[in-house]
Amino acid sequence: MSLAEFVDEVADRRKRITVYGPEPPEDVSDLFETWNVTVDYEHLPTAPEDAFITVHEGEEFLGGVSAAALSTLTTPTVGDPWGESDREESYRELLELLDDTLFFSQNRRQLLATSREFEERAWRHGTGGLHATFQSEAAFGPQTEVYGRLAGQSDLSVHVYAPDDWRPVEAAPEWAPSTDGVHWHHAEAAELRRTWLVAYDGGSDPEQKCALVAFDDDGGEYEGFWTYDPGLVEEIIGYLQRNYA
Amino acid sequence: MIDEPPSSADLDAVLRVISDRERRFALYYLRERESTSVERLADVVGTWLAVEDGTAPAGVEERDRLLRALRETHLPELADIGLLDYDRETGTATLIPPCGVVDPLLETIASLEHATRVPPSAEAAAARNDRAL
Repeated sequence: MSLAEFVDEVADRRKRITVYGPEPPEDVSDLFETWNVTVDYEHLPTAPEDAFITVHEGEEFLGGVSAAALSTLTTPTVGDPWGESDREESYRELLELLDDTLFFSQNRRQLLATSREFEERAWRHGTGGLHATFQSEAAFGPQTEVYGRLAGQSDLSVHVYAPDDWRPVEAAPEWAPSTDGVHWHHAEAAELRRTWLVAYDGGSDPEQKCALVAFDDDGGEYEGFWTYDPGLVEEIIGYLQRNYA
Repeated sequence: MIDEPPSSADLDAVLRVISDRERRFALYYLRERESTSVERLADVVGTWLAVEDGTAPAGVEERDRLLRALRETHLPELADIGLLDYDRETGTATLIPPCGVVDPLLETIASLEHATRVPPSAEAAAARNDRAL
């Protein structure tokens, strides 16, 4: 078993996106070009700004959203986990519509916004376990304060997993006070050097469970998925605990 | 049923049936596809209306409500006045061409659906203009 197997499992699920509008919108096709989805187009005399998409898995309707709203996927706002805004609400709705879908992305901002959304969910709920892997010091650096606050100012149990040779509390003592309360787990495992993972166990509420799992291909492209499937989130956290905690 | 010139009773029936926005949008979609499943109709019309109203994303609950309304009311009513065939067994709706007087009527109304809608941004712009005056 490895984290990569979770990705393989999700790759078997394929969603179907149908775009409706007066003309085929190129940006939607471009956006999903690297996703594990089928994109179809049907002409419909909507106003150009009212072009929309529907999302199906098999014959099951999962939801629909305006094509314009999709732009927040590529250029999301990245705020603090404790901030609230309407834009975050629409981003959350998009994440729910497109979960369990394999994506390839060079867009770190998108991964960061998705991580933030899950960290914010943990922060709002205030209890339970939040698990995150960091590939390197460079990846964790900017998140020091965020994780310190998540661990220190809530009842969350915050677990950070990192490669063995990177021990930030020793390497950068100035971080120690601000990350007080973070549970560090170190292991020598190649997958930790290429994994971007954030998982929240939902505390007492299984509906709150969520996880993002993505792998860096060393060329700056990430392959991964996010999920709200409680069973899958449990498996992912269980894997981390068995192997690295 | 609707041959030109329509009787006033026909016209009354048509106007009554298409006074419902969900039915009109179902017809707009059928004019593109001619034939479709009632499920697909609910998926598309539900999302389209949610986007028009600014209430998107369209969720499964609202779609299921629309699906029931299409099956139980909208499609039977549209079939009654001869605008489409509705096969309850297969759940398939098929537009009946030609639509006679209804076609230009729908064309006109469709253009009004957009024109009469005041997007929030335009409203805000109008308010700003008021203040400027």
